[in-house]
Amino acid sequence: MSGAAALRLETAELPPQAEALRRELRAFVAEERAAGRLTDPTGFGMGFSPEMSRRIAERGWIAMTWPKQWGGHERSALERYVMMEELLAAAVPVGAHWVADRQSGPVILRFGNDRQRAEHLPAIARGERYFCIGMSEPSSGSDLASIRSRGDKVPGGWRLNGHKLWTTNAHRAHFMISLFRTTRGLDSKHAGLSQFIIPLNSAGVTVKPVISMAGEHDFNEVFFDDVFVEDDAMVGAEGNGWNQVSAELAYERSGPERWLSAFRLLAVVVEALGSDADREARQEVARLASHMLTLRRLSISVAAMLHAGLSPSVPAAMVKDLGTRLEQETVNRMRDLALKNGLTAPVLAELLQSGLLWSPAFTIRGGTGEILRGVIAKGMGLR
Amino acid sequence: MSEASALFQDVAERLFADACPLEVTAAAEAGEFPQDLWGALEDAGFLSMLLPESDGGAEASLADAGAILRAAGRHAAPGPILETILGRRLLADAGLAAPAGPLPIAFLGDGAPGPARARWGRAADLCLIVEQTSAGAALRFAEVACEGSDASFEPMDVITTAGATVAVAAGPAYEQALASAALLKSAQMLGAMDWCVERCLAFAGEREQFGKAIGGFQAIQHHLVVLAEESVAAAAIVGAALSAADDERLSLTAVARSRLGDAVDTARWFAHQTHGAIGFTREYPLNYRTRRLIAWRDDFGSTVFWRDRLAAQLIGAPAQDLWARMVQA
Ligand SMILES: Cc1cc2nc3c(=O)[nH]c(=O)nc-3n(C[C@H](O)[C@H](O)[C@H](O)COP(=O)(O)OP(=O)(O)OC[C@H]3O[C@@H](n4cnc5c(N)ncnc54)[C@H](O)[C@@H]3O)c2cc1C
Repeated sequence: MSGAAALRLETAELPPQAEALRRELRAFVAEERAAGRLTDPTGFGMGFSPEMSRRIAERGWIAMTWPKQWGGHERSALERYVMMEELLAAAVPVGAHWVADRQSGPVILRFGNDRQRAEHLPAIARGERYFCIGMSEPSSGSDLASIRSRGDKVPGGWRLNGHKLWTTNAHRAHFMISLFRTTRGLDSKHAGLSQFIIPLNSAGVTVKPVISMAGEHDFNEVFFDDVFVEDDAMVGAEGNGWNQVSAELAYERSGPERWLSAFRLLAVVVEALGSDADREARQEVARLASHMLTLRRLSISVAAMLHAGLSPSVPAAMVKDLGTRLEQETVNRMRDLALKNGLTAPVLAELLQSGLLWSPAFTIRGGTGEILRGVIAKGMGLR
Repeated sequence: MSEASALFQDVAERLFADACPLEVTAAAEAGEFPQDLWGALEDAGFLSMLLPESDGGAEASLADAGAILRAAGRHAAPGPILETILGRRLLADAGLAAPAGPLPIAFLGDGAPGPARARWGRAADLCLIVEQTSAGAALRFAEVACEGSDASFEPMDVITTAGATVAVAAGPAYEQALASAALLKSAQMLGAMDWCVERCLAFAGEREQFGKAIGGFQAIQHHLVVLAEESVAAAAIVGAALSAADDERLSLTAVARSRLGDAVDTARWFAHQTHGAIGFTREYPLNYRTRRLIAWRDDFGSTVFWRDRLAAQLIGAPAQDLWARMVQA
């Protein structure tokens, strides 16, 4: 697909079982709230709660699309989509298992061998095993293929040396799927890369916090000093790392995470405005809501395309590019609305400040807006 | 898109490519009704497509009609095409036969979506008025004064004297008719945006500056990406609204028209910026689409009108309920 053809998108409908699932998810959220286990968030970071992750797993809402053989539930991508939007809209703290469910598990399922699947997938599906993403390094951000961290073959396994940076949750996850250069001196920088599943308690792994400007400890730097991992730690074929991270990034980009974090702020502002909101406020709320609901339709189309076995990298990149810009805009507009209307709801000030402080990260993490637009331009035949 | 809609779009695309070269649009802007195009549309059965087969129609869906209008918008096709397709259906629903030929439409009454004007009112002896009354949607016929136009440069005539009510449809008929008109107009806008995306992509490969095609500059690539994003986003929500069930369609229309208003504004800017001065000329075909996007954005309810509608569903919601209200929309 190239040129304008890459832009064709099917309108997708959610199947009836997805609507049944939506009711179950809402009932779960209501129960959690009633039991005092779910409180309103005051920040934009994704909450991290192993207890919540295990309760979500008990309902079968992790590993939803994976084969039963590996602890999965063999449901459709569209049902999984409904799970994501309902849990995120209710600000359920899903951060502990989110990366493992969204991308690490799928990478192991698709590229790993049966021993790796048996070792990791059922534990992820139980909500007990958490992963982080080891891609970026100090000198390699957007230009990911330029990484220097290296793996050298030794008897029985690999010796890993290097330095990963911005690794979200490395301090509380159990494993990292990480990209290393396993063959050096090749003509293409995309060749010779491989992915490893690394236990973060391995000897030689050091995790140091990096505090964000929001004052929070979410990401880290991770040092590898002569870390030994067994042959079986390599996921997928040696040298196939670039293809695998490309697939992994597509999983990361297509979800509703981005615009739904801003939704919570909108919801708090709408409540604070009350029924007698003025015309300007009403117009702003409707405008932003229509942007969110449009992104929702795009996300559903992407989920349907994934379900049909397609790899919609162009629309997925569009969802993220549009969604992250909307997220930033929503924060700014809500701040103005709060000021113009003298809104003083309890959590609003905290949520706004968090949104403003987190705002720069929205269009950087998971691939910057510029890089996403490059992906789309390529899909349109411009490169 | 359903197979039927795709088929309609294919046939319509060929019809407009053939019967609606730019000269036809230009002549219409100079006041000449597009007679041959009209004949071709009538022969193809498009103008009666929403009627039951027993009335000589195709029992097509609103999404099918949307497919035709998207092609019409792509070719900047002039004349009251949308109005006639919808008007014939409204009259048939009321058990009335439509007058032969073009059937311009205006929505009037309290809470009407805009001024009392009808696009191409002068193309028929009488135009169809849909009016919100306490009893329901009243249908009447009205005369027009031939005055006025808008950025499309096509006639936008003023409704003068409206005749007696010929039928009243109870229930949500007025809202449904208005939503149908607004959505079909959205499809027409999508078509004009499709054309802009395609032309800009081609232009970026043709136009050279600094010794290379401007499409090689990253800034231009990003312009084209944003243009494409807006068109894909708008198509996603309009497509969802067109194929929704009747009760869901009302609120999805408000969402779609709100989002489309911004998409149109953004797309116009990026399309012109990519073209430089040539795009600002009357001769180059870009303006035939962007002027229509300017004009159509306000047809059957402006962006502001539809945002008021959408806000009415959302304002007053407790934080925990907003999501459910939005997803219903
Ligand atoms: C909150 C947060 C969490 C993160 N979590 C993780 C994680 O868990 N794991 C992980 O591996 N990484 C993570 N990252 C890192 C993230 O993937 C990188 O920040 C991102 O890929 C950009 O790299 P960089 O920061 O080095 O910026 P750079 O690549 O140095 O970019 C700087 C600027 O230059 C622009 N630029 C670069 N190249 C081009 C080009 N070719 N064309 C146009 N413009 C260009 C960029 O768009 C940007 O504006 C996280 C980042 C953040 C902010």
